[in-house]
Amino acid sequence: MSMIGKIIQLSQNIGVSIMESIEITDSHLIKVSQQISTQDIKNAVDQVLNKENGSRLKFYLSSCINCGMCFNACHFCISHNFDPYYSPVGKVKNTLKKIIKKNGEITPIEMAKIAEIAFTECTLCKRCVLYCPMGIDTAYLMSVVRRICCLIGMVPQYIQDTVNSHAAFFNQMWVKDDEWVDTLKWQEEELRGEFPWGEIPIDKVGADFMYSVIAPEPKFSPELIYYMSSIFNIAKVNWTMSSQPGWDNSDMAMYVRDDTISQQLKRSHFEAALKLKCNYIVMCECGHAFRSVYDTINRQLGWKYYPIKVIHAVEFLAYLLKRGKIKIREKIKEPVTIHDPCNISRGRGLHNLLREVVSYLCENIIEMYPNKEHNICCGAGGGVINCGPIYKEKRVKGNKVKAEQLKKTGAKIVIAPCHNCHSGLEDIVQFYELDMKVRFLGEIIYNLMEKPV
Amino acid sequence: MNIIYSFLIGPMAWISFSILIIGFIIKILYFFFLSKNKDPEVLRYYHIGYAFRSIVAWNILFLAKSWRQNIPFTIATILFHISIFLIPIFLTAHVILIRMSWGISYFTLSETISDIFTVVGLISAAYLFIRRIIDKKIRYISTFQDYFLICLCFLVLFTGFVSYHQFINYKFFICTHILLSELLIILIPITKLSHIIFAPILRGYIGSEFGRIRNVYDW
Ligand code: SF4
Ligand code: SF4
Repeated sequence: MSMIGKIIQLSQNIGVSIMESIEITDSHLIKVSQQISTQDIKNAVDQVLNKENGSRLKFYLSSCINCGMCFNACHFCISHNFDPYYSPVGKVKNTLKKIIKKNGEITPIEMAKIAEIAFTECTLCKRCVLYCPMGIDTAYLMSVVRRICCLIGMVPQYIQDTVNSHAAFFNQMWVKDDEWVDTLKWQEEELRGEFPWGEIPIDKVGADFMYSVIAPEPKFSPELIYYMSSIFNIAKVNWTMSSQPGWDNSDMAMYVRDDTISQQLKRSHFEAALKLKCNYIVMCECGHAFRSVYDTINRQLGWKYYPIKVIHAVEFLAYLLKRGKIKIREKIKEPVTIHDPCNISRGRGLHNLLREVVSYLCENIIEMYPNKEHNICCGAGGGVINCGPIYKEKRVKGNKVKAEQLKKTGAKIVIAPCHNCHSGLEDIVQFYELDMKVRFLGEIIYNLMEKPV
Repeated sequence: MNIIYSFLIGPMAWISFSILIIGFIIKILYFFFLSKNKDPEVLRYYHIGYAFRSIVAWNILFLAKSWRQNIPFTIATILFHISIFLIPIFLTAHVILIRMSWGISYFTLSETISDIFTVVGLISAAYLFIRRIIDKKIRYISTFQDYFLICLCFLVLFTGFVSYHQFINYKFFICTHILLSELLIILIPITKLSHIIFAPILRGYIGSEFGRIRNVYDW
């Protein structure tokens, strides 16, 4: 028995030393830790662990047999040479299990470390679920930790800022209502330069499709709205966009676990569509927004069925291409690879449809293994990229495996129909100096389709 | 020794099996009501077909990618689980005990096969234990329970093996064997060993969530 005791001692020592060696990068978290007390943390822990959460939390924690099979799942763990600190089970050990072991008596500075693990070292990609024989959903456990952090305000500043924007303006980027309409009008004007008959209908009642985007599109890349509106116009579908709050489908509050705000957001998103009496909501090429609408927040809102059908851009584009509503002039000849965004492949099973769409557009598709539902996350999802540039290095270094995967394909273009993946992959391409371009489907289709004048 | 033996095989056996069964009933009810009150989606999304699909898939050797990526561990754990299931239920001596107390009798394993399974179980248990010590990564995540439970399983198999063959001090070993087995049985519902029941339940939930909502396989 004494040998076992020693071993346990040893393993705990390793644990402590690894924990101690990790510095807190975010000065904001340190600042918050000076403003809260252990009692605040204890209250939040009690609220979340005992009052809000139930069977999944308890039984996931008590059923993990520490087998270590999830080491192969997590891109952070693989990229750090299987360092157990970054493994899914290691993250749970250093966050939730630690909190429970100390019965919630966590000092604020320890809590800051825990917050950093939960917010920036797990992208909630759920890959580990596919690798755990017990079916333990580490992403769910990490989101529980985030919920505790949210209640005490221990949230990285950048992502908290987006949540504040959600609360104040119902969109992610502090876009004011008139700015939004202005952007649409501006894009319509541009569109008329190319297609004199083109239009971006705003608040048209009774359209078949309402197209909703995430706020970074009008803020940083209005050309994406341009590409999609060209596609809508050329396909001659009956569509519209909303000027009401709810035009933005993004939801960073879901990742901070500010549940009240996410529920308001999703309700307003559906209400915007209901007011326009449309049949479908088409969502832009974004993964997290789709997860929020399709999978996460609707559960919280308690809807069994959606009031309106929601389809992701990939589904919509597949529909247009298959029906011949848009025709492709010529295919891309360069080698192309496909990145499956977690939230639409592992989250909705759209990976095969995505391949169908890409096969209309490209001649030379090189698969990147593991792919489809086993894809490796871009490393930017789960709100990690929204935690700000101070975490960029950690995020990119923590996804070396993706860079290796990309490099192996030798492709010149990587298609990623998700905003987070797009930015995440661009960072990876830049950091590891890969000779590649990251592209959205909308952009590629716009460039390749037949355009009647 | 005889008094201890008859206590262990009589009242103590009843006590431990009652704890096992009552413990599991309480735990399952707890899971059910906790889900109903606080995690309603667990019951709402549970789908017997998808749950079954997932459980079967994970039980097919090397079908799940995870099994294929950890081949030595997979082989060890599967052999370990097979022997730890077969031996207690189908060993001749155990079947005789069951017939004596309940009058039920069924198929038994022959002596050689039982011996083979016991040795295989011992080796794989030893492998699982040593792996926890030697492999730094696994050591980092291991807790006292992990070491203790695997040791206990090893000792149960070992004492059973020694007493069956009556190498030395039969009485001592058979009493230790029964005592440890009963300890193991009592520990099942209150430790990680509850994964005997909860692994399929949780796997079933994830299988339903992935099959029903996410539309993908979860292995
Ligand atoms: S694979 Fe599952 S049971 Fe094994 S250590 Fe990871 S989370 Fe725990
Ligand atoms: S959800 Fe993804 S990032 Fe988080 S622990 Fe699991 S595999 Fe790693």
